Amino acid sequence: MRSYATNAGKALAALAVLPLILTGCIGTAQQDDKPNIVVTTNILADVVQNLAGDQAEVHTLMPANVDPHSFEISAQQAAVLNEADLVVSNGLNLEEGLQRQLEAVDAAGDNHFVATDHVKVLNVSGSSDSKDPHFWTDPARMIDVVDALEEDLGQVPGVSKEQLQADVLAYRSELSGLQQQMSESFEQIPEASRALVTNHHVFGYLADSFGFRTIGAVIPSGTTLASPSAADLASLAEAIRSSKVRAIFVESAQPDKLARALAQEANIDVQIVELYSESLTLPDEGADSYLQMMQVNTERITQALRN
Amino acid sequence: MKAKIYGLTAALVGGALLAGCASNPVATSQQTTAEPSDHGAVEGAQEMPEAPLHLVTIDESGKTGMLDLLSDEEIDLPQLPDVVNLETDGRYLFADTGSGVEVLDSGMWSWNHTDHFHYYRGTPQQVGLVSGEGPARTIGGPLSTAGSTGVYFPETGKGILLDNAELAEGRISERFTTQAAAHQGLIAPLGDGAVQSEPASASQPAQVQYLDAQGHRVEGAHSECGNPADATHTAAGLAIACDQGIVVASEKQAGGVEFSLLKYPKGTSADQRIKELSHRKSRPVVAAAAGERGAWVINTRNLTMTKVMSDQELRKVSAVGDAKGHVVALDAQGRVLVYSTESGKVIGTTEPLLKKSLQDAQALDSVNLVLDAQRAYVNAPAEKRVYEIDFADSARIARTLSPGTDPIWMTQVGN
Repeated sequence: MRSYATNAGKALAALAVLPLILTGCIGTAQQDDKPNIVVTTNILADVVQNLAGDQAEVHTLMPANVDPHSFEISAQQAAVLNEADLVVSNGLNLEEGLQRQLEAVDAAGDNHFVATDHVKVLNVSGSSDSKDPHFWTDPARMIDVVDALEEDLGQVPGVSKEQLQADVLAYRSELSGLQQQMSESFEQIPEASRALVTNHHVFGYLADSFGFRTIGAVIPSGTTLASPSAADLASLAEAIRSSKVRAIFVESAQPDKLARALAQEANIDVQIVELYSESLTLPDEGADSYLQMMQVNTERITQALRN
Repeated sequence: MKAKIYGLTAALVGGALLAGCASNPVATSQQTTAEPSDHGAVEGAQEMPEAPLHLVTIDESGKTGMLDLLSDEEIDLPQLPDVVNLETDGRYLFADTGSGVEVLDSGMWSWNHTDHFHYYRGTPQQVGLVSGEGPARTIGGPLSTAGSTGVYFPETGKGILLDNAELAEGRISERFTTQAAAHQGLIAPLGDGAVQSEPASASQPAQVQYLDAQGHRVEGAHSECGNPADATHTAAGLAIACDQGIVVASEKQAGGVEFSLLKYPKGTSADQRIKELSHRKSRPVVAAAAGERGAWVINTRNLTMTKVMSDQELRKVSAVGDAKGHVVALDAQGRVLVYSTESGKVIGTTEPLLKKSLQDAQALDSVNLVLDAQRAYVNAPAEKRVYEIDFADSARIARTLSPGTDPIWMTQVGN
């Protein structure tokens, strides 16, 4: 099995891909006889790559550092989707822009795997009817998905069940290891400090699995920080005070400005921590695999809340 | 589908095609790393940590500029001459010239992901002209990256449904066109299809009718609606201002549309009917001036309609749709008022900001009031200023902006 992080694996992958780049266009992926698996998100694509990357071509519709044009799939791309031996999607409206194409895949046959069909789904925090699609922040739920995927991948023509079993076993043990690692890391955080103050509820599953409270707050934008007022910071300051934690998890374009404004306007000293949430990065940019993304986030959360 | 490509756009698109398949988003997971970032003139967009909010301003000569509200940097956009009205869906600029609608891609937009947003920043580009006679009414969809945009020409009764995915590629492409008897009406995108107004005839009252993805009328999917004056997408569906009240059209399942009619309260006179609906993008609450005095605040989700600020003479009104129920208005003295539905009163008033513009009928015509989650913006064309107002802080003037391109016309993109 090609491990997710080995350089040798990456080099091999790069070599294998070279002919595709030279000839360029879509369709060339069908040149060899490997089955084609199309995955919508890059997080799931990384997981599928680990399970079946040696035996199948894994295509992702959503490349690293998301190109939004991928949400507007062309007829050509839809054709690749239609010819796929297996289509893997996240579900729960995460692929809103691809809904019509995914429905077409469903209509054409029984080769669509929807990850959220195989996990215990939570509602979006504070909502009674909106389901939260971000299941991957809990590795235990990812293990459930991997178990279900093994079944469907095994049905793909040309996939050897023996090798699949071995690859799944290896990756499942990596996921179990990750879960263990996260538990141990979060145990360093005192009970009272286990709160995630964040601007949207991407970490609901992580919170559910590891005993965190999630506290949604309106985080002022860089625009308003150009001329901040007490009102801009009120909700955030209140969330920080009520949670009694001194760190917030945010993707702010101007973290320093936000920290300064909070200190000045709301008299709160707070650390601003960035987490990776919905997309892997390009290689060497910090979170180029699912496992790495989770490890980095775990480390940052623990560091910020430990004391 | 009929595609029209215009001069400049054709050159841009050609460049992108030559640079080839690199822009193709279907790639093996490793291949993406080898993609060149530059593929022709149409660069790939970047995901941003927050909404890339920009003000777009157009001066008398048609010079168009875009001011980054975060960094204060300003760039020039392609010219938009002869503007008689300016609309946006948060990404594209639809500049009505009175004889066709010029479309510009600002390259800045937000993508509503149900419980949160994704934000993108790309390269602005000229898209092209939607041909038609006389002034037009343009109504965008809930997402600028998918679905469609409706353009209707009242003088000729021609309706066009534009494909938004094609706009992103720099092309004007019609999903379908419709032809009705000329009337004050509209066409607005909904789901795969559109809602279109139909004038009264000998056999039928005026109504709005749902059309499917091919532009065919869906039997039974219609609602009474006389003289639709405006329509806008809210979190609850498409809100249409009709003689009878507000019609909310929502897609319950693919292809199935449900209409709800929220009637005006008894005793509402014809001049209190809504001419223009305005709100913060994607929120369920909309607001409108109620004739000479007061404003309507309409919750399109709960189907409630309330009249507020009845003693105020208001020119422009818009609803934030936040927890405090802020409604922002520009009054006849050029003051910005902030009303809170939660407290039921005006909670802040600025000094008169548009003294010169108020004396100039032409300037007054192009005054706009736009809202994002935290600020309101009003352009003062004669004063050559844009005021940034913090509605959550008693109508505090947060910044007074003087864009390099005079704000005769002004709107906000990136949201």
